[in-house]
Amino acid sequence: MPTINFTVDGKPVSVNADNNEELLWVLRDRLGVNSVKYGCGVGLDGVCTAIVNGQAVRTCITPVGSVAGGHVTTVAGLSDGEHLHPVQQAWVDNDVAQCGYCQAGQIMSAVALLNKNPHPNDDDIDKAMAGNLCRCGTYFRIRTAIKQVAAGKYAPGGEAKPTANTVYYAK
Amino acid sequence: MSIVDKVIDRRLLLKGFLVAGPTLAVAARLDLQPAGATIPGVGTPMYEEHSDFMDEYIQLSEPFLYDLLVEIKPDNRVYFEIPRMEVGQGIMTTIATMMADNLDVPLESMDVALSKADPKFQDSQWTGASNSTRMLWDPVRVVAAKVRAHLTAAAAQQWLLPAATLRTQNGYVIAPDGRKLSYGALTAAAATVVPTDAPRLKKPDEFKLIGQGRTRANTKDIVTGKATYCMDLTEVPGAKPTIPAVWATHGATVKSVDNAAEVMAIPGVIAITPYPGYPEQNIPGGVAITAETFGIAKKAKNALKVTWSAGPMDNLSDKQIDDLLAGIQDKCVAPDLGEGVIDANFRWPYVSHAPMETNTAVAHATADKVEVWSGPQIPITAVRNIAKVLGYAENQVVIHIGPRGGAFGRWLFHDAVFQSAQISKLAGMPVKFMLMREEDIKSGRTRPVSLHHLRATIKGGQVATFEHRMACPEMDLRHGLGDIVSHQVVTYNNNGAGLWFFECAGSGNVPYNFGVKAVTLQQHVLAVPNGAWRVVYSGQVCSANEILVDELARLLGKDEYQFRREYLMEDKQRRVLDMVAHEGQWGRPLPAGVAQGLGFHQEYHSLCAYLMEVDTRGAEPRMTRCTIAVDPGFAINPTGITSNMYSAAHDGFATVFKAGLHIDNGATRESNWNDYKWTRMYDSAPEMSCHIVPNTQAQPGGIGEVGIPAAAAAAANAWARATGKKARNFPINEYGA
Repeated sequence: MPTINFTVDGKPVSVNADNNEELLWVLRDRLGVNSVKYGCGVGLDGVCTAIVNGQAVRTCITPVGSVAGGHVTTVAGLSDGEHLHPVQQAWVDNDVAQCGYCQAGQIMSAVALLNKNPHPNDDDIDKAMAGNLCRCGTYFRIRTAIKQVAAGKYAPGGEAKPTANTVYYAK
Repeated sequence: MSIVDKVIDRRLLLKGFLVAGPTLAVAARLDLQPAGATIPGVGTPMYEEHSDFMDEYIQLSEPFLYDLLVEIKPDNRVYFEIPRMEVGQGIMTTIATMMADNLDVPLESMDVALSKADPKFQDSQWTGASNSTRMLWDPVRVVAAKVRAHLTAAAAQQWLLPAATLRTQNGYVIAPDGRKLSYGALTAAAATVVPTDAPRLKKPDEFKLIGQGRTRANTKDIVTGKATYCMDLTEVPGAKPTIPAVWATHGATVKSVDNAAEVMAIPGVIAITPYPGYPEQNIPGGVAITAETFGIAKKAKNALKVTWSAGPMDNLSDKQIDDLLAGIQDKCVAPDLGEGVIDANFRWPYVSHAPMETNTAVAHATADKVEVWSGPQIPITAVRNIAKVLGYAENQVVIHIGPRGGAFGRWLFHDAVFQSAQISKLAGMPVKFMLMREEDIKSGRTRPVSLHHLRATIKGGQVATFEHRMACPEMDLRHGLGDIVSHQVVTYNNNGAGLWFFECAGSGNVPYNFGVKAVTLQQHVLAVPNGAWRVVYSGQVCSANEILVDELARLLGKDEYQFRREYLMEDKQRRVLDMVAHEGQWGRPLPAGVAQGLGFHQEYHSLCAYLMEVDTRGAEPRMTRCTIAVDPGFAINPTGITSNMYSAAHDGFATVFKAGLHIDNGATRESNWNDYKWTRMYDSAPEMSCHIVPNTQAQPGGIGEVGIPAAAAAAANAWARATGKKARNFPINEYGA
């Protein structure tokens, strides 16, 4: 198996994998990067979306060989320590997430949209977010959050308000 | 009357504090005391105009919920375990808020976890039927009051002051002169002190956090990719990615694996493990493939050749299933009274719950213990089935509960919990088990297909009769109601349990003065695994009723809103209807092909109305505006309530226009989002609003499910008013009407 080099959230990684292995599973199962999730495996729900060299891609259908030498950004790479990206801040302030499972992908699609088109209208949002499914039905808050970022409501570096700490499984 | 009121009535007393190390850790129990201290100051009686299934259930089960684990740590943090599952409905946030407010601690000092499966909870550890907030409301208040009483007593002892002169605020006990002691500093003493003063429950006007809208507790984790779902766990380092190949047709079993050696030779494949499942509980068997990565496992699954037995319904497709159901369906009996009659036949298809996170579980089975990390809604039944079938004592089965990426009823059954344990035991290794989307839809449980014959007749210008005859495959309720006894009883008479639930839940309730009313259900056993889907039978029954309500209004030449106002039975029902009509501007002018639709529903002691606008001019109908009014009884987190109501708008829209499974010769035709369609951004309304009625009772109603029937009906009614067609056969995008 060839050694493939690229960066994930700014850190260089090196992995032994077949070129045609899906980026999603290389990230999760070979590199332990869990900030991308599995939803459908065929590019239909956008759960696994990451940004590769500036483009939003579905990592579940992206061969890892195609990102060699490139830069992969997941939702974990948007924030700078405690300081949130404006899109993340908008997601927090609008309480967008419910179960949260699709939201990493939703956020990455929104970031890619806003990078290309800083002032999207409803039509633009419909088209750019069409590939990201959410079973909880959080679309209205996603739309609101994107519009608020576009309107310049959030500067980079915001912090989430303190709230209860979630311990995911009882000890 | 709530259980706490009964506590007073029967002079029950809380006792049974446990001391865990040097801190106050509460696991209170309700015990009968002959007389003595009582707990004063409880809220007004529970809203009793309608008793539903959950009322009885709560009365039976709630006492076991007083055994909540709350621990005050020396650093003034509060560890609190909730015996429930978080699936996006927001109960961790809601219930943590309830606890923080009643404890008088800042919300941010709470560390909130989900309890492991624990038999001490008897029949009370289950997440379903919108029961979580309702059932935990009183126990949280009582346990928090008890904790405050202990902390106050400890401070009183230290300061040599009467406890009655002390107050609690923000994690501190405060003396009249302003001296403060943190809960953390008092926790050791509080663990052993015996309070002389009775615990005092907080009154609603003392709440500081309850009633305020707030974002969910783990939202920052979610947006930064740190939220931990089952497949992100690292607790079992050797657990390798494992996926199943599933039956060719429903109910089929593995006859042989035909090319195991060939598939094992694929680099990275670790094991191939046929497993029987648990057919008695409709938990499918299959062939598990374990590999270094899920990607390799998927390639191996695609290469694997399995010979399956014939299934019990290989000769059945949709047409034959519909014929079977029509054959058992009760007939409408009201005669035409000469002034008008509506007969309508509705069909709702099979729909998958299809949560974004498919079935997942991490399992590690050894000779004398099996541990599973997952999130079944009813974990006790999972413990029982794993112990019984895999040969363990129940105390050798440990199920760790974590939040899940959606459920919608899919996790009432513990399929993946059982399957992962079985595979781990058979393979002799820990597994990280996941159904890929295709298997999740093809072998997973569903809301069963249903036929509905409705008839309403007019006499004297009024609706005189209203009949609803439903037939569907027998709803599988063998998950029970959280405990072993009901699990056994339902297993013995599943059909009877379904009929009982149908009657006692809101499905049989027609909230209008329609003269003689009858709603009945007949069921027929079919091998497609099914299970309750968000709001159970009401999703089909009450949506169809509300569609007929619109048609009755038009038959009588009345406005659909005014007709509902006239026939609804209570002012509180009219209140949400009026609110939605006002806020949503009922009757506002819209272009041809765009129309408004109304829907009303009440269940779980909550009431709601939806006013949806649907544009039918494009290739597919689109929700363009959605206004919601809801009476949740007592609002704890208005932000969370709004999210749940919006969520129901999208689910209702999907089931009316987009989603439906087909059965072809015993197999589910659909396999992924290309053919199993759901609401997407371009279907969703750019304008939405949710209006919450000020508190109308002293306890919260259930909120996770009540929106579905009203939302679905509003969507269908808007479409019918826009197109002039009748909504009968769903999804409309497939059948046209």
